[in-house]
Amino acid sequence: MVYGQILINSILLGGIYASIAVGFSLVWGVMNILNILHGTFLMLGGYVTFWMFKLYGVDPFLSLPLSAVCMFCAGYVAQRGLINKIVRAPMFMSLILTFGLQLLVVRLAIYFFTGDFRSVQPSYAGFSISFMGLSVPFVRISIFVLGVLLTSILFWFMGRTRTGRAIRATRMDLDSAQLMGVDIGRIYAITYGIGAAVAATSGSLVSVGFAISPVSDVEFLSKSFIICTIGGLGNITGALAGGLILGLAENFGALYLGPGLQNAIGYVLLILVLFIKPSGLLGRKGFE
Amino acid sequence: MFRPWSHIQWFGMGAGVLALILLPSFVENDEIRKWMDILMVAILAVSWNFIGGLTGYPSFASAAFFGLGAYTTAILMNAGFNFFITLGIGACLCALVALALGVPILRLRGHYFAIATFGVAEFFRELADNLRITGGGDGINLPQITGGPDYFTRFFYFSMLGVAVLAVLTQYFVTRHRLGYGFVAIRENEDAAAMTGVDTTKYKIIAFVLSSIFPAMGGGVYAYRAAFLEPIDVFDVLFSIKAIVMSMLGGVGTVMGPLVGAVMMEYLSDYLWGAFTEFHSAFLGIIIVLVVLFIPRGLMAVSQEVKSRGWGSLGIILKSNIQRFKV
Repeated sequence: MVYGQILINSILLGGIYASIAVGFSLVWGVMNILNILHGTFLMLGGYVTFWMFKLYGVDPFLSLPLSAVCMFCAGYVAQRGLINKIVRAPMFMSLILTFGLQLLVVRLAIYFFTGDFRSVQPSYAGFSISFMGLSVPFVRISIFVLGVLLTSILFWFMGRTRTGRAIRATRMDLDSAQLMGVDIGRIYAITYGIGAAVAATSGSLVSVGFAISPVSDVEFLSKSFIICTIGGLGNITGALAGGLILGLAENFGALYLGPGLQNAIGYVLLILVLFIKPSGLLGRKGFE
Repeated sequence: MFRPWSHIQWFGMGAGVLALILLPSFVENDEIRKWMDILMVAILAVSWNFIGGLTGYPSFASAAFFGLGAYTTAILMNAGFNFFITLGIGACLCALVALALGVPILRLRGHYFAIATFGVAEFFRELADNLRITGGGDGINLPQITGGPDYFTRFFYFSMLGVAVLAVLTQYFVTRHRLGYGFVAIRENEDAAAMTGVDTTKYKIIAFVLSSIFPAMGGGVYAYRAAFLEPIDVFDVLFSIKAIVMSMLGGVGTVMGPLVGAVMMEYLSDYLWGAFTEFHSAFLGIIIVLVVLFIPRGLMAVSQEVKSRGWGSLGIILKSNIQRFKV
């Protein structure tokens, strides 16, 4: 029964991990940017939900669109105004640039929000569903479902819409896409905005089930690193698989090795996967 | 490409070192401590240059080696070892770790290499957080140095200076040796370097090992001086980031660049916003953004262009920098 419970927990955690990482994977895959600001967008999205709940009593699941729209705009502006200027430079320039922005934003967030850990506690936070002796908190299930839904919407968007196709074309061949009339600067900004919006939405979800603080962004970011590397870039299923694997590894690792080393397991997994198959378990060749 | 220094350059370098040696005789302890911090980040920047600047592999492992060196000194000094011996042992240990990690990690390119080195630093931090020998998250105490503040400020200052001079000299001789040319060949085009007979795997590992030794020693000095270590303090990714940004500010891939960048950045930041310690990292963030956008090839490159084209063209130079890589 313990194993069943851990399995359920791992899957629920894996779903949220996937939605955390999918925006990061998108930005990395399309623009070859290692987006250090990713965790920051998650954190800010969480704070949008927190403050809406705290100040105006808005149900956390209703403020998701707001936090998505806010961070889409922030991401769009950041890409258009700053990152687009150096996006063709050697790859670690964009990494350093986003790191600089991250330092600035996190510092301001600490100033305005204080460093306290916050969590949204709606009235139904205590409910849980139990069947066959397993108990699952209602909030965790909602987060899981919404996280998977979010990932699916992104999947649909990339495959079925005009903008999504333009993004994929840009990833495949920048110059050809430009020749076909794709405005690269705009597509890059939209891609980055979508990455930020997806991050913000999953940040809002995380703020309901877990505690967040301005410095949580580093944790989200390192999870994204690990998940994208395990799952591989270039497809959304990679993020899902990576999220599930990390969720399972962390929960079962904590069972056998003690909870202290839970985070270290992820890094070991990261280095192992890089050693065995650098393009990730589900990654396609050419995306490494 | 890397010409040997002329007599004037050697003279300038010697004068600089002499000035740093004489510095403690003329200034207050506070000022000495400030220069000690400058030297510490200079060590990190110069060491990063081996792997990141010359070889072109942007490593974020500086913090890992810094922390490993710091913890080695802490643990061995508690076991009764002499301070300088612990520095040597820390350097050897980090060289071995770099050797062992380098084999798998240096096969990776681009972002995957960057992430792997991030992962290494974070893994060691988690490890130090959980092992008993490192004191876990509670931290670890070191033996206090005996003597007055005048004595120990100078003791740590000269230790740091010694490591820094060693790092710069090593870099000078490496860049004038076939090793340095091999590194740069790998940076410019790894496949072509392999074709022309550079043993790329070996060279990359040597660069990685070189970049690990001096941060380890700097970390050891830092540990003895701080007298107390916490995993989050020494395995801080900011150490890696500072090393990179300072190299960029001065000029990546040159011997003097990282040095110039480190001195400028630390001194200026202290001078400009020493009063706002709370917002130090925010200002650092702004500086990073400005450096990446406007002077990505470093101050040395900009000053050379200014020299040949005159001050009037400074605006044009900065503008062309920002337009080089845009979409």
